[in-house]
Amino acid sequence: MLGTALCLSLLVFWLTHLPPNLEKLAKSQGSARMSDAEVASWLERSGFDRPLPVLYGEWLGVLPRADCGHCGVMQGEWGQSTVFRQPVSAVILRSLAATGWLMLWVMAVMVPTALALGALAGMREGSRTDRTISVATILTAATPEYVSGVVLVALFASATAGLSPLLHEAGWIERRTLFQGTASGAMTRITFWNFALPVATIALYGTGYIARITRASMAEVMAQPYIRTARLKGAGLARIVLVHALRNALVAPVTVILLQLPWLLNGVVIVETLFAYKGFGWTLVQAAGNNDIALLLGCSVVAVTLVLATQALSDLAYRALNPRLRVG
Amino acid sequence: MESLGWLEILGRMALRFAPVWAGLALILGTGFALRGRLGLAGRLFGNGIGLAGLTIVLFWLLTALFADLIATHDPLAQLSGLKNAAPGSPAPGSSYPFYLLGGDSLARDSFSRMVAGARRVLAIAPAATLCAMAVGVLLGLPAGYVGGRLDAALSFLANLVLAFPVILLFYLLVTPEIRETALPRTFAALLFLFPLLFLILLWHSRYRTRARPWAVGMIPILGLGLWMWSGLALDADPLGVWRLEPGLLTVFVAVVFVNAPTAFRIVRGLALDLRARDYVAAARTRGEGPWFIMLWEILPNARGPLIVDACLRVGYTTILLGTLGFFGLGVSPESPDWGSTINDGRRFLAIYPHAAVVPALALMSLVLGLNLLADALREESLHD
Amino acid sequence: MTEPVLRLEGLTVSFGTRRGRFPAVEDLSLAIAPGEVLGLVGESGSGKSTVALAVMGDLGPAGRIDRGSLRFGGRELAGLSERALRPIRGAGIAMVGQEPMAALNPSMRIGAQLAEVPRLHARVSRAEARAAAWRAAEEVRLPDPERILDSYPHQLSGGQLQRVAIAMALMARPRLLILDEPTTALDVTVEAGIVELLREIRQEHGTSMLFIGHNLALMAGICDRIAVLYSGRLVESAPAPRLFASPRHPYTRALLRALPRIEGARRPPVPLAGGQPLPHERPQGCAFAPRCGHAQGGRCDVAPVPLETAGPDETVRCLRWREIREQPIVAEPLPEARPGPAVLEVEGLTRRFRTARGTVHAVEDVSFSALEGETLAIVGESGCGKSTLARLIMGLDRPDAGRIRLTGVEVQDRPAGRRPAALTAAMQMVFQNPADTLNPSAPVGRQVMRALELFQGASSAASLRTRLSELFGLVRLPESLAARMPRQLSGGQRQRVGIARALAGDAAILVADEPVSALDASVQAAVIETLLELQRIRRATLLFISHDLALVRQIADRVMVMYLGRVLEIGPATQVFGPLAHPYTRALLAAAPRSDPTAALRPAPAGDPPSALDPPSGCPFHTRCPRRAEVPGRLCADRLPPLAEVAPGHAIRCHLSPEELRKQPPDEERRPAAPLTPSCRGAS
Repeated sequence: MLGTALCLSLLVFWLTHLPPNLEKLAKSQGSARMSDAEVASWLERSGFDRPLPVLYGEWLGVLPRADCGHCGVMQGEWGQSTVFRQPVSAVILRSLAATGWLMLWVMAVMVPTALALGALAGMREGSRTDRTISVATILTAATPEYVSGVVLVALFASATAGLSPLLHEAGWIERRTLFQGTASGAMTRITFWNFALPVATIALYGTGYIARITRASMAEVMAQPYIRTARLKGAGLARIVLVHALRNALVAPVTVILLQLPWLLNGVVIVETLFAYKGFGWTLVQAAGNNDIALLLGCSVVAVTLVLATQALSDLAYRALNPRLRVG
Repeated sequence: MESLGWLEILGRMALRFAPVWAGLALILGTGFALRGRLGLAGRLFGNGIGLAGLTIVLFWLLTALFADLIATHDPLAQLSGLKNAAPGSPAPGSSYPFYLLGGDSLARDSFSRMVAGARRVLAIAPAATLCAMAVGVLLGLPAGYVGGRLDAALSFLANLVLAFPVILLFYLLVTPEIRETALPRTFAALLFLFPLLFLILLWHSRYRTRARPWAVGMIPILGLGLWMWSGLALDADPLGVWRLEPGLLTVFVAVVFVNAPTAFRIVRGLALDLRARDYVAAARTRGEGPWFIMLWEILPNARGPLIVDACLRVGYTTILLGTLGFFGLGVSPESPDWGSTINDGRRFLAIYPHAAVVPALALMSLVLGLNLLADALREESLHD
Repeated sequence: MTEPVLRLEGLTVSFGTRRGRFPAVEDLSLAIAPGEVLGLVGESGSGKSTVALAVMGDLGPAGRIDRGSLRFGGRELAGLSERALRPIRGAGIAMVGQEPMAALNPSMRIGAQLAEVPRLHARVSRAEARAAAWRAAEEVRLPDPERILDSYPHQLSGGQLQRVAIAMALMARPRLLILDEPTTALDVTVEAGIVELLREIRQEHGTSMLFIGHNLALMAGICDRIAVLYSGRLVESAPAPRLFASPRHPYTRALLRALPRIEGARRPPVPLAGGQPLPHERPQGCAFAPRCGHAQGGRCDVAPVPLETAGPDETVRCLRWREIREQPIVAEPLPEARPGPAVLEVEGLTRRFRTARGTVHAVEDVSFSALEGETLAIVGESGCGKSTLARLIMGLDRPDAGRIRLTGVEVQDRPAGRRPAALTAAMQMVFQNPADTLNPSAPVGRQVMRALELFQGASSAASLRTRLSELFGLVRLPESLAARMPRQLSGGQRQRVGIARALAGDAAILVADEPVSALDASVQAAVIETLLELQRIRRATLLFISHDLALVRQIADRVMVMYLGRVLEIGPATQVFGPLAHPYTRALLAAAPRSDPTAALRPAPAGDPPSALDPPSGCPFHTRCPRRAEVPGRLCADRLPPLAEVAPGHAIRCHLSPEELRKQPPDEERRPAAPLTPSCRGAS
């Protein structure tokens, strides 16, 4: 896993240090009208003309740097962000905290809803409940965040379309819109009105996806011979579902929920951009869009670490839920 | 002139889609008549969800095909005074008297842009999916069938790509700076080689013992394949027929690159499962080579899950293309593709939602259709 | 007569499918008296399991009872709601299924699953339920109940799991126990143990049983009365001894003829042509008429045949049962093989698999040779290494040590695909699973053609086609089947295509790994007949791998017995099945069911086969050997006996001398010396 992390960071490092990127960096730091020679000399002065492995070693902190000795990522020195003119670590910490709140609420909404819907649908495959839930979850799983976000804003946070004008005219709400179309206010204080839309936007896609998996898993379990055994013992449907089916049916979805975290990261980037919420995703877009190499590298390391950590976690969860894999 | 009401807008739109309705009636009618002989595809006609999915997907396919007939305006033309115009606004002095679904912030016709966007998305998504599946098949089969160190190495590579959040990967790969380097071309040359290699191996393993059919198939595969490959990947087609503009090439490569590892995983899993079958052992005991076993004994029996996956994957690729457009990556600002249009429209979302909502609903319905289709196919193939 | 526990009257059950609604069971009338064991026998697709599910009221959304009544102790079950059925399920009628591993919840401890029954039906406290579970585990002779109750299903062996399932079924003292193929997934020695347990239960509690199965020989040992089901209809029912002594219906006769008999001589089972019609293909009139030698056109194929009473407690559904007076047909005894030189020599072959939990000794130091024109049977229970041995010989797996000589050429280092074409063509394999032996995605003719192209590539396309039709003729398949896909063929037909494919290169050696174990008895006999005929015509060597001793006894020239990867005995069939044999061979023979309800009971060895993951030291069989006490000291546990020749061509691996081995105590006294603790899979 450490090997994967190293490989990935090297890859990101190489991609961000390709000549065109460096040239752009030089022009943004120096002046936009630098000649090729001036760019070359700027790069030489900043030390970017040295071989990539050396630069990578210094960034990582295994090779000494001229000014501060071993001061790289491993020592906690993440460099200076050129966009925010602050240390990268400070920017990332602040943005991670903001995103943490978003994720927390997304999980709190998404996981119980998805598991309940999935279990309900899979309990009696082919029933009317199953059909209804299935079509609904296929629909939300087919709606990427940038679509559901746009539709939700148009429905609930537009002064000219959707519900808000109607409610406003009826005098039910004071404001022009029911919900707020941006979440920038949530940076200071989270309220239902500024946070519900971003949370719903991310949760909608994930709910559909996880509910689909829960349903498939539940339907498969309900067709197992041991469920028939339980039924023929004389157990009622409630007992069969709660005691015999759920635990076996949840192994797959729980693993998937954890593997889903990286995908949530995508949703986070889109939603934070759409609702102007200055979290991790928004920071990543700023870093990439403005060629802020140090910040982009920092974001990449955090993102990749998150992904790898969730993979390890889902492995552990799978083992914990599956008595077959436990030793003894 | 008066603006149109919603009923009139819908009526006029339905009229514009006339070629699509005709095509749908023809295809679904023939399909329904022959459903008994079509196997799995025929059984979709008895499945409500499947029929709905099929209809939606066909609708968009035909829309892409007849885009020129359906569109009311040039998707890039701007008409003065129609900036952010409401749906049904009159558009005097143009090729059609109304902007059916309104105008966008640059006074272009939303309806025509949506139709043109369908063509763009459906030109890339299926091709990129096939390309990614070819990569997945050619690497996943040996990983699952041979196993051992080969599997470990390939799986490591796949996990490496999978550990990247997709958006980070896009931001690293699909930038104007990257486009200046040789990276996209190199990647394209490599990735486009896979479909060609797939066909060559398929034919060779089957007919290696018989010279005549071997040559009959191999010559056109090699000739046509290399011609297309040199044109699409290297931009070196001497006749100039096969060509991909550099921006599109980068987008295509990025989408294939993101899709290939998951396709690899699925194929690998299927191969791992199927390699223990008796007919595989039978093929080995009669001295078949590994590629024959992988491509002719294992692959055909993995086709069910792979077709379902391909359906889902086209939908997923559509979402990815939209994501790229949404972040303005790799596409020209003029491009009518749905993602960019949503991105353009979202700035005035709170006031003029139609410009963003129209392509958003279009994208959602296409992906929904594909997912419904995949769901029905999975259900029908399970009930065999 | 007392009120029967269960009485079915004109029961008709149908299932809705894509093609419409078809009856799986038609007009079935049966009764089970208190304390009676009724056997319901039929081949796959006869509707026998549907009967069980109908009684339990668990037909699923597609199934429906169309007509008839199901009375359990006087109470009508048909049409009862799920809620009303609940107190009857488990407490009144309980069921044990075929796959014990699948029937138990994988994430619940055994104790909790057992305790659930009294909690559901008697509303007892947790502690009382636990105590009841403990007693139930003891009752089904599970060793160390405390540990078993604390285990998860995957930690127990198949035999132990089936005992758990039976304990669970018995906990609420049901009046009727339904057993649906309860031993089909188990090894023969384990099966014998379960059958013994069922007999004891019936003696102790007087529980009525409905025993559903396909193996008449097994049912002979436990059932009072047997009902034969064919294509959803009852064709004959009679007390078991009567049925075996003088079957009335031609189908019952055919079934009995096709049954391999452990007590018979070298006489192959008699095949029955054709297959059971599917529900939507049932003919007018008698469903068996198309396969029946006695059928008369214009009489048997006109109208449905009524069920007639043929005697007290005997029924038969045949228009001609009074007219048919046939001598029992017996196959010609097989001629003695005149074996030629050795074509396959195996020396010291060893294969071990390293796994996370230790090393599996799959094949240990196996040596033998197979001669031209003979049938060499390799027998043993699951996990004995017989299939690994076949894979090693075929080059599908590489041995860790040892030599394989194929017509004099060493091939152990050449996996399949690297062997010279001539050697590859010379030895081909017939596989076990008819669903799996052919590629489901290609027409069967093309698959045989592909083998022909590989083995006879130089020939012209026309001559290959001629060869193809020859091969189809050889395995008695109409050529028109060549264009069909495997799923359009029956199991027996697919096995024949598999044989044709193996013969494409004129194989001199056929390795057949359980080629008929997945087929119904009547079809089994037909495939065996084809294999033996081909062998006679071509003087091919047949390596016949099987767990079915009865079948092996009837067709093999020589027999090799394997246990935990080791050869315990090898020799001519007549001698191996004779008085001088290894204790394990004897145990296998004793455990094999006899197709004679009057035969004496023969106890099986205690416990399940240990796992090859951690084989016992010394003689691998010593943990279960009934004669270990006769060997002084700890010799059996400490030293592996050599495979010593006891007669020309007959070798036995045992510490007992040939004289001692010959002194066989009578069957009734052959109880195991001491109850032995069976090993526990996965617990190490």
